[in-house]
Amino acid sequence: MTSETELIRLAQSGDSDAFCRLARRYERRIYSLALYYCRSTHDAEDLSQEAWLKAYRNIQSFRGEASFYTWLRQITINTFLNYKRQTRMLDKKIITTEAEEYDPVEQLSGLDRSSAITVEEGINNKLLVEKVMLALGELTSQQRLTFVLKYREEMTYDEIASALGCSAGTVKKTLFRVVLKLRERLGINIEATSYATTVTPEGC
Amino acid sequence: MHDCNKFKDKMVDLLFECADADERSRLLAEVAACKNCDSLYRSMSETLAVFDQVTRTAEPEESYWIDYENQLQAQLTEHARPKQNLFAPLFVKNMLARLPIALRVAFACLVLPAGLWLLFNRIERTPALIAIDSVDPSRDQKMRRENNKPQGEKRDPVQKQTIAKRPRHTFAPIARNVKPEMEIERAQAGVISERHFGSSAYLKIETASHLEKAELLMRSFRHMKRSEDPAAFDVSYEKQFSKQLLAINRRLRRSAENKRVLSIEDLLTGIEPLLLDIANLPDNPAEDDVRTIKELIQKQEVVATLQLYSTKASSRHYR
Repeated sequence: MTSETELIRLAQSGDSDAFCRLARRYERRIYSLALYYCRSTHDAEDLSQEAWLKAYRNIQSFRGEASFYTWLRQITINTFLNYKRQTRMLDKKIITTEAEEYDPVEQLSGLDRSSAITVEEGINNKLLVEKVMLALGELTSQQRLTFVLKYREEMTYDEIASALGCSAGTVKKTLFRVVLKLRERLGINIEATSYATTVTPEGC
Repeated sequence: MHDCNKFKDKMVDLLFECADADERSRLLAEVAACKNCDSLYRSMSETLAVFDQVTRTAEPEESYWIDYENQLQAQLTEHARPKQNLFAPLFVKNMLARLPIALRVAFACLVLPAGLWLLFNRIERTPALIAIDSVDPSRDQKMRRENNKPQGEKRDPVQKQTIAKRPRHTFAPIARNVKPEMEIERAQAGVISERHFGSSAYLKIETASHLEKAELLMRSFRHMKRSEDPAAFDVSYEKQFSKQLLAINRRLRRSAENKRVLSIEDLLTGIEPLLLDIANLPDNPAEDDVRTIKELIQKQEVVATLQLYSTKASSRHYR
C-alpha cells in the first residue's frame, strides 16, 4: 500500500488517481463535517466535492508543514465560509425553508443500512436525526461551524479561533451558547437553571 | 467562592473534555457542590450524547461512497487540472543547482546590476526635497515679519514711494550646473526661475489658476504703456486685480505653509510683495514707481517662473 507522502507527491505531479486514493482516506470525515454544517445530504455532497476540487487545484501549495488532513480541513472550512458568504443574504430564509422542507425519509434512505435494526429503531433514529438537524438549523452558520469543529473534529479553542478569525474566549462562549440552544431545541431540560436564561444570544 | 456565571467557561472545558485529569476531577467536584451547575452540566452532557447517537446513525452506506468517488474522479479529470506555473521550473532549487558554476555566476552578474540599476533609477526619479533644504529659515522669518506688518504702516505715504525698493524675498538657486559665481549673482538678483519644480505635483487647481492670473497681471504690468496723460500711467485695473490676487495669494501661501509645500510657499511669498506694490500704487503713479516694479518683475524672472508653474499644472489638470 502506497504511503500518504507518496500519494501526495504523485498528486502534486498531477496524478488524479493518486489524489482519489488520498481522498478515499478522508472523504467520510469531510462529508460528515459538511453534513453537520449544511444539514442537507445534497449540499453536503456538493460542498465536500468542492472542497476536494479546491484541494486538488492547490495541492502544489501543500508543503508538508502540517498534516495533510489539517491542510485539507482548513480548505474545507474556507469552502464553508465562502458558501456562507454566498448564501448570507438568504440565510434566514434557508433555515426556515430547510426546516420545512426537511424530509427525514430522504435523509435516512441511505442511513438505514443494517438489516438487524428493527423498524422501530429505524423510526426512532429517523425522528432523532430529524430533530437534531432541525435543532442545528436554529443555530447561525458560524455557531454551527464552531460546534462542528469542536465536537466532530476535536480542534482546540485556539485552532478554531485561528480558523474562524475570532478569539479563543469567543469560541468558548459560542460553544456554551450552542449547547444551551441545542439542549432547549431538543427538549432536554433536566431542571431549569437560573443563569442559563441570562446568556445573551450572540454568536462568534 | 463558586460563581455560576464565571463557571460557564469551565463547563465548556468539562463538556468537551479539554481539562486534564486533575482539573477535571476538581471541576466535577465543584459542579457537584452547586445544584444549578450540576443540573446544567447533566442536561448539556445529555445533549451531546444525543449527537453521539446521531453521528453513529447518520453515516451513508458503503454503496454511496462508490458513487461519491466516481463523481469526484470525473470532476477531477474534467474540470480541475492543477494550475501549472510556466515560470515555476525557473525557480526550482534543483534547476539552479544543476547549472554549472560559470553559468550561475553569469546569471548573478546579469541580475545584480539590473537590480541595482533599477534601484538607483528609482531613487533618481523620487521627487527630491532640495527646495525644502535650500530655504533659509532666518530669511523666511525675516520676510514673514516684514509681510506681517500692519497695513496702516505699509500705507504710510512716505514709505509708499519706497515699497518697491525695500529688501525682497530672495530665492537661492538650486540648479546643479550653475557656477557658484553665477549662483551668487542670480541670488542677489532674487531670481526665482530656477526653483525646484518637483513639487509641482502638489499644485492644486486653485493654485494653478491663481498663478496663471498672477502671470497675466505681471505680464500686463510689464508691458504697460503711458496713458494719454504723458505724466501718468493708468493702473486702476491692475490695482484692482492685484488686490483680488493678494487676498487669494495670502490664503494659498498659508495653506502651502501649513502643508509644508515649501517651494510653492516660496513662490507665493516671492510674488506677494509685487502684488502688494501694485495694489498700493497711487491711481496715477509716477513713472519711477512703475519702472521700479517693472524692473523687479524682469529681474526676478517672475513671469517665466509663473508661466512654468501654471503650464505644468494646467497640463496635468486639463489633460
